[in-house]
Amino acid sequence: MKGEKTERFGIVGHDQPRVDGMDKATGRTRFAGDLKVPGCLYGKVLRSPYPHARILDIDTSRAERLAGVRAVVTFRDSPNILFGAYNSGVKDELILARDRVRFVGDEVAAVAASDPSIAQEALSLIRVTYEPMPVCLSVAEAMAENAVKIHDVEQNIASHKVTVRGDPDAGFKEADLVLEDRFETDLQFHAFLEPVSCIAEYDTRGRFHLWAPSQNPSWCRIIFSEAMDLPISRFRTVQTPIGGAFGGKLEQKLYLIAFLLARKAGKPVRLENTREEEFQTSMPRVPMVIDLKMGMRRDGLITAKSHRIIGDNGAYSKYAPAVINLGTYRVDGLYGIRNIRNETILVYTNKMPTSAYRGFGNPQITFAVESLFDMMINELGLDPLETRLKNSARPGDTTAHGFKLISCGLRESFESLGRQMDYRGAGLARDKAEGVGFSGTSHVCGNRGFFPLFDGSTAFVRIDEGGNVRIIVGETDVGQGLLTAFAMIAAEELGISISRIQVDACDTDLSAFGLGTWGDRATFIGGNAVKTAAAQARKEIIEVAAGMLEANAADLVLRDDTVYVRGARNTGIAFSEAAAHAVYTRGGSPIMAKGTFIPDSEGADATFFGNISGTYAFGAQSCRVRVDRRTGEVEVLEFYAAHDVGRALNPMACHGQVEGSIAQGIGYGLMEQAVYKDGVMLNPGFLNYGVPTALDVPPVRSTLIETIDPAGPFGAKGVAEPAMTPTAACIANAIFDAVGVRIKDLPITPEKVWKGLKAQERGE
Amino acid sequence: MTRLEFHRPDTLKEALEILEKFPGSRIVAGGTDLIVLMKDLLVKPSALVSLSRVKEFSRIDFNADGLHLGPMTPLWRMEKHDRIKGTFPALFQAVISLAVPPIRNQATVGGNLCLDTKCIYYNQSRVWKRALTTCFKGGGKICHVAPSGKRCLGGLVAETAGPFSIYNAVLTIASPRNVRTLPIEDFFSGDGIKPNTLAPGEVVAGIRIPLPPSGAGAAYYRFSTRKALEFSRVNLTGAICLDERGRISSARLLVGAIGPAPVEVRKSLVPLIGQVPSEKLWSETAKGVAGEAVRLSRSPRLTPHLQAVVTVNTERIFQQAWREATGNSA
Repeated sequence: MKGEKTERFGIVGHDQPRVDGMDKATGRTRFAGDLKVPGCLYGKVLRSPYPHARILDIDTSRAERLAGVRAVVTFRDSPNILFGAYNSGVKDELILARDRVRFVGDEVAAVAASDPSIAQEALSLIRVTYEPMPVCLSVAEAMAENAVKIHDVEQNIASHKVTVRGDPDAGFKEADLVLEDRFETDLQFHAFLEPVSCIAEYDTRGRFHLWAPSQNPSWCRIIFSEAMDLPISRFRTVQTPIGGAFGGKLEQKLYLIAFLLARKAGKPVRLENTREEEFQTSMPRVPMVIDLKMGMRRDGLITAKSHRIIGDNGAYSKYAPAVINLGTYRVDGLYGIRNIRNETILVYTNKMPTSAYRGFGNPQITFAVESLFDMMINELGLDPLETRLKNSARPGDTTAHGFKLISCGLRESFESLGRQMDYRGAGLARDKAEGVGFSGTSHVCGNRGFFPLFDGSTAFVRIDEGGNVRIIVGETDVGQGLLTAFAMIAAEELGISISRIQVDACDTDLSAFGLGTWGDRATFIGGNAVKTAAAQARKEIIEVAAGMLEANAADLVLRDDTVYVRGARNTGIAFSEAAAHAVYTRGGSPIMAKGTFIPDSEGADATFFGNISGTYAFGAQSCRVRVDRRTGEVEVLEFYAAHDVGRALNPMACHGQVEGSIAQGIGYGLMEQAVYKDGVMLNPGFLNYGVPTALDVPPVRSTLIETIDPAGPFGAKGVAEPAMTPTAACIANAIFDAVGVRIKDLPITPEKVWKGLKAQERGE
Repeated sequence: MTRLEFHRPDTLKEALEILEKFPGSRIVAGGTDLIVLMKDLLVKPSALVSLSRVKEFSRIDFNADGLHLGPMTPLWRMEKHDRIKGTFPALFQAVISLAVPPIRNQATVGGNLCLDTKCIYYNQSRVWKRALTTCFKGGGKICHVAPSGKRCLGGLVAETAGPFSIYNAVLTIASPRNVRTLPIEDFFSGDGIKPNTLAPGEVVAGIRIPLPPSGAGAAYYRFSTRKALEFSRVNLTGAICLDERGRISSARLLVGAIGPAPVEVRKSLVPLIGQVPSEKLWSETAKGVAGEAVRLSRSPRLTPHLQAVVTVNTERIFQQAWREATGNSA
């Protein structure tokens, strides 16, 4: 591995502007909302204004009579089959509500018309008779003894799991300090700029075609098939460029509604969320109440951890069962905790369904663990950095949950922060105090837990007679720069310039089956598939060139767009010449190569034990904040981040991921908050839901730690999700360092800090 | 689809005639707020009358009398105007803290002053509002901000309202029948449903601010969740004037955004008069300010935390105004 680290590459490891950057910057990229299809109808969805109500009657007759209306659909047009996220174990949704609505925004009916304003008017003509029901707006209300049942489950519990590893009792006994506290986290919205949007068409052969910004085009067909009660073969997904996803563009109910409308109208139908609908239904981050207990030896070693997490599922489960289980156990590998008792309870409420968001449960639990860890470090008077280093996972470890760490740069990450951040003796001004906080992070790079039968990726490489290289994959660029990473990997492997390469978005009729982009899997797993396919293509084109040059293929190299005999560069032929020769002399057959990568992962058992990912990503962050002692306002002054990315394929893209993550983490930590009244979200828009602006994000100094992962493509791992995970905890710890106030619930608003400071003044 | 007439008259006279001819028509200045309201169907004008071609409406005049602003002056021109920055720092601070540069490029000073109140319960789409009972402003019988209250508590979020008040701006109001002048304090109605006293068909035709007397200093502060693209949750505009012996001859403070009009705190500032400025003096004075603002506004928007914000920043504002007054602003 050491050898490869120092190996020089022509493309990999160098800053590469996005291959799709120019089109995006000049407005040429056609997002789903830009697509024009002749004869396309415009759809609108009628949603519940009640957080919980019985539907007594739905009368669509007036809407159907409105001129320009081509289809009105209700539950009568859809199968009466409950479905849910794949392999989540919970099926609790219908495409359109049948006899009950469970949150404000629940989908009841939909209309397709020749014009959006007609569709909107038609919605107002649909008469739904509701009978309001009692409402549970918090997990506490929902779990109360006499609470109304939102679904037919006891205490509104959608999922309840307990996992024990090692001997937690003995671990706590061994501890010199046991600390226990409650931490709470709030909703967080993906707030991507491109709202969920699609065009659906039903063809004369009975196939549904969907153009949509889907994170998981192949995988979502499985859910379509289940919800529509039709075989997978009847669905085709064409992925359109994705204007931000962050876990929020997995399968959408909107797509299923579009199918119903397209089938009934016999025309293509466009459906698009308004921003308000995004905030009503876009499946934000699962809020959690985390009761956490940890034991620590006097020297700072963590001996045991137990948590009981109650997650707010919202009205339907989606991926929340997986978020609360997989996401919240992930943290245990960070500091090599061995004695563990983890309990998770997911509870229905009459709020919007919650689901996946960058980090997948990990930011929630990392906020709790890193906060409590910090409290213990302070209690024992230990050094925050030294103590984290002492506990940090190391390469070669197998964690309590069975994760095999084949590479791990956590210690190097903390050490890097220690060199950069002066954290001892923060400055103290009169009204304003400064403090420094730390937090670590670990994450998967793929997860077989979702789809035990399958892990991996397959890529196709096709080289035409002009020497253009087309790469077709099953993973998706969600804005993180995957197209660029794949183009770089292929260009490096083939020995050609990156401008020859185009990476296609997924079309399930053409691409190989893939799980898409989530769980930090795309670069690590998909990148390996592309690398393998490119290597195969190189072999084939060299063979063609060998015939042309009358040379032995083993003596040929392909570099700088030229195939030549090793050591005799001027004898070579151009890559494009070889490509043309291949096509013309082989009956039109282009070079077509296929590459498959299957990571060395295993499906987890019923207790979530197993090496679910081919490798794991690590990192650490530190920030300096200034707290106004009199108003509680927190200003983040600077952020340092060090992330083990395996190898930085495209350093500028890695830094970009870290910076973007920290911006989102600052929003999560300090600002973003859903305000509710009677089950209605009061701030469903960018004006009052405060995602940070450029002025709210400080300079981010990001360092990339290269551990050259043995399994990664050129040694690369993922970075997009782990970079978001530690940020909120880091800020909370810095605030404590500054003013001695510990805020245990997110977001850390000035009001909470101010109240903490007041309590401190009163000596509480 | 509803049709909308759009007029762009060249003169004020023409504009006033059109406004009279089309009942239910609205003036569009920069449109940064009106278009949003129209999208949410909160206003449904029969016609839009743009004043962008009325030449004298986008003039900035600075002379011995003071500053004259045409109502169509875009905010960016005010923030780039050195003499506005130097002479009316509180106004300058309010303008640069407002929204974001692209909005300030489009939004106008007259539009800002005439901004309707904002409320999280009212400024929502029609679809969204099905989920909550209609409030006073929508024609209902409740204020969700203060459910026991009897009036609309929509917040006046026009960031320039406080600074124009503190600088004693005088407005020129034109109608088809006459032109009148109106001191700024009579411009705000205190009614959240319609926060200004303009009669139908009337137009703000100019804003005049006298030059501040020597020895005067003013400052502006706003509190919001993030640093841009947000209306303030509370804002403060303060001013003091020092006599030739360096004692305070007058002091004013306005608390904005918590109700339908800026609230002027007076009683708490009485002890300042005749005193020599000091940090101690500010902190003594600031203690009563938030309580007085609560009593005057009767607004639950001024939470205990925001009261603390008001107290602390009253001190900071007077300190800054003092520096301004003594020419020590750098």
